[in-house]
Amino acid sequence: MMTTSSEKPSRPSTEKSAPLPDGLTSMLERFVSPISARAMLRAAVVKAERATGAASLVAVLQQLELSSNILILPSQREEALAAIRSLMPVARPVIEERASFEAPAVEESISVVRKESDLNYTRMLAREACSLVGVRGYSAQKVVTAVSELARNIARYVGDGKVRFRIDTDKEQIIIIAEDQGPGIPNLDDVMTGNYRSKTGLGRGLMGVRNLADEFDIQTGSDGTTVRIAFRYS
Amino acid sequence: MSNNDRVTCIPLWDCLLVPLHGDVGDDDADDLVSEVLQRIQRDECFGVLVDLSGVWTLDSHLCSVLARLALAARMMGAKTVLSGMRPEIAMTLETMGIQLRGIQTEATLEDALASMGITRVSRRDQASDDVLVQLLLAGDSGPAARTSFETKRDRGQ
Repeated sequence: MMTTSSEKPSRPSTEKSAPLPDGLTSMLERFVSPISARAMLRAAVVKAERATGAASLVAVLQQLELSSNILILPSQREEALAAIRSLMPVARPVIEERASFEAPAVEESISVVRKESDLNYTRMLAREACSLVGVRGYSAQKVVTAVSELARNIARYVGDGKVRFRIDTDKEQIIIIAEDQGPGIPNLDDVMTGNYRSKTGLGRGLMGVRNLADEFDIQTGSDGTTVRIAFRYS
Repeated sequence: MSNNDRVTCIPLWDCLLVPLHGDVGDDDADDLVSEVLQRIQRDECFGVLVDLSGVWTLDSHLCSVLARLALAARMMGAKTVLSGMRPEIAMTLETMGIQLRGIQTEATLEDALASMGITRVSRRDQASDDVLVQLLLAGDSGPAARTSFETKRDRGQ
């Protein structure tokens, strides 16, 4: 199997481009299926070209490092990263720094919310996120209550969605993203101004979340709703 | 009465003590309303004391469940009092703009009991208590009986 760099002769190669070693595919095949290995490599070449203008070996390996976080099983990830890094032509500290900076961005907990019994697990993840960064008391209560409101909206009105938890150590924020592919909120203005009252006596949930969170952003439309909230923990 | 294991209702004279604790799920909340209302009717309670000291999170849904419970209980002639709300929960509800209108809230369970007319009677004088017991045992009343008791005790000494 030829590597994908030779399959793309259309792009003029620059001085940074170098033929990728044949061992790349077989190295990846140790961790994923041959089909996935080829796909990973092809995607890495395309991304490297987009990012740096040429599919240099270093750029391709960097892309492979990033995609290995998603495609390779957690148990094998360490070994795979070591294998990828061993192919780097020169061990440059800059690359290491970049890799370690980007890696935590993938670290997130996700709770799938379908029904109201999923709320307990979602709230538990919120509590875990708080305890991870030492947030307690009123601050933790705000996070958990806001998550509870967002997850309940998904369970009640859509029936399928996700709540993602991320910790941004640079900005010192707990970031929570609640997303669904539901019909959207048609009367968002009423909901956010407090003029809406639901049948169950709620209707203050989203407004309450906006008041609780340090940052609040909502995007809603016929293809779904995404609410992103952030709480500072410094 | 099945599947009500998660809701505890403790009969307390003519009242019902309902301690909530941990993560109160939506199913638990629904069970709570139906169980409490049934117990009000069955046990002829006139008061419902909901203690929130062990609750982890109180969101707008649980608040609305409690408000509905209070309203329905009032229709059945029972008064509902919430007690023991932790400061961080109270601050969160305040920030959210949730007001528990129509529900009486008290700081502690003792205050809630007092609002139902249940108070602690302090035993200040053990001797006078003994006198009362003896009086009741004797089946007498009034100053005459008191005198007779004292006489008996004096004789004993």
